[in-house]
Amino acid sequence: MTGNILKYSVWWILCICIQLFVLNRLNIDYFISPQYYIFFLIILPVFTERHLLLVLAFLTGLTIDMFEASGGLHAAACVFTIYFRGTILRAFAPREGYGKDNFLTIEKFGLGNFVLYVGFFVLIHHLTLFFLEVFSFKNFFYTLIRTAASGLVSMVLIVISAMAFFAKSSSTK
Amino acid sequence: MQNFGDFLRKYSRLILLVFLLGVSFVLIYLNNNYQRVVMFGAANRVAGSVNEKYSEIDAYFDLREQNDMLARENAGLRSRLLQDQYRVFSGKQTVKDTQYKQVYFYIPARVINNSIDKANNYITIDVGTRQGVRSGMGLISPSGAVGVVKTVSEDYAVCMSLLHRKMALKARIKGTREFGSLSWQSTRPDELMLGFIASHIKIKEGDTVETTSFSSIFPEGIPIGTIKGYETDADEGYLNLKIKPLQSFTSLSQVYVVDYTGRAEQDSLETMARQGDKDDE
Repeated sequence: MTGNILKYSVWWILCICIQLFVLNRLNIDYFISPQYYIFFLIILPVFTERHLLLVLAFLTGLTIDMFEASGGLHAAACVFTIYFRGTILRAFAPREGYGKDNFLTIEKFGLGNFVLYVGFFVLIHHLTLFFLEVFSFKNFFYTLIRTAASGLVSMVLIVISAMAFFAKSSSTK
Repeated sequence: MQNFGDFLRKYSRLILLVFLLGVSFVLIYLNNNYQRVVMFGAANRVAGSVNEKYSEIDAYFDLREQNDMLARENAGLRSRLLQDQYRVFSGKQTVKDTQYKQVYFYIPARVINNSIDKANNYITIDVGTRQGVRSGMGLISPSGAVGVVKTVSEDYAVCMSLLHRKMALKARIKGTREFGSLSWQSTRPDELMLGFIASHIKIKEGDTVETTSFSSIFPEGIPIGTIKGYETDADEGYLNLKIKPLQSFTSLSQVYVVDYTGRAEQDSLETMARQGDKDDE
C-alpha cells in the first residue's frame, strides 16, 4: 500500500515536470499543445475511491494552473473529465472484468481497448480545456482543430508512456 | 431529516463535482485581476525561481545565437554614435544636449517564461520593481514590440504578450501614418490584426506596421510587423489588415522594458482634457 502511494507520487511528480518543463517549453505550435500530465489520472488504480479521484484531479489540475497562471482552467477540465472515468472504464471493460487487483494494465484491456479508453479520456479533457480557455464558440473550428491535433499528440505520448510504466510495474511484481 | 441524509449520501459525488468545478470557475473568474497579483506575489515566488533556474540552463543552448543577435544590435547602435558619423555642417551649427531630454529609458531583461499556445499568452521576465519596472510599461525585443507589462513583483514581471485576446494597442502603417487598433484573434501565433483602417486607404502588402506614441507605452516607430493581407468589413467600411509579427514569439529571449518618463504627465493631462469635455456637456 505504502509502496503504491510512493510509486504513484513519483509518477505524479514526473508527469507534472514533463508537462511544465518539457512540453510547455517546446512551444511547438498554437495548434499542438499536448496535455500530457493527465497520464497520471489515467493510470490511477481502477477502484480508487471515487471522491478521492475527484480531489486528486482537482489538485493535479490546480498544480498546473499555479505554474501556468491560468486560474482554475486545468482544475476544471480535470475534475470534469475524471467524473466520467468510471463510465469510460466500464464501457471498455475486459470481458472477465478488471479482476481483484487494482492495477490498470494494457494486457487486461488489450491494446485496442486501452487506446480507446485513453482516447475518450483525452478527448473529454482537451475539449473542455480548450473551449473553456477560449470561452466562446467564435472560432469554433480553430478550437476543434486544436483539440484534435493536441489530443492526438497527447494520446500517442500517453500510450507510449503507459507501455513503459506497465512494463516496469509487471517486472517488479 | 433522514431523507436529507440519504440524499446527501446518494449524490455526494455529484455534490463534490459541482463544488470543485465551482471553485475552479471562481479561480478562472478571479484570474484576470486579483488572483494574478496574489499568485505572482506569493505562490509564484516558488514558480518564479523554478522557472529562472530552468531558463538559466536553457540559456546556454542558444548562447551563440543570442550573441550574434546582440552583436548585430550593437553594430546598429554603434553606427548611430555621433563620432562615427560624417560631419555635414561645420562651423556655426552646434547641437546642445540641453535641448533634448531623454524620456524613454530601456531596461534590459531576459525572458524566463513564455507561451504561444494559449488563448491568453504571457511573457515572464527577470526584472521587477527593484529594477524600476512598473505595470503598463512596454516590452520590446531587438526586432520589434512584443507586449505590455501587466503584473510586477520584486524581481519578476509578467507581461501580456501581443498574443493575448485582451491586447488592444494603437498602431499605424509606416508610410501613410494611418492608425488602427492592433489585436489578436487567438487563431495563429504568426498573425495579428490591425482593425479600423478606413477603407479608402491604399494598402500594400509588405508594408511595415509600427507603434505610435498615442498610447503612452511605446516610443514612435518601433516596428511590429508587416502587412500580409487584408479583408474588408463591408458593413462598417473598415479594413482589417492581417499582420505578420516581425519578432517570432517562439524564439523570444533578450528583451527591453520601455520606461516612458513622460507617461504620468501625458496621461493626467489627457484625463483632465476629457473631464473638461464632460463638464461642457
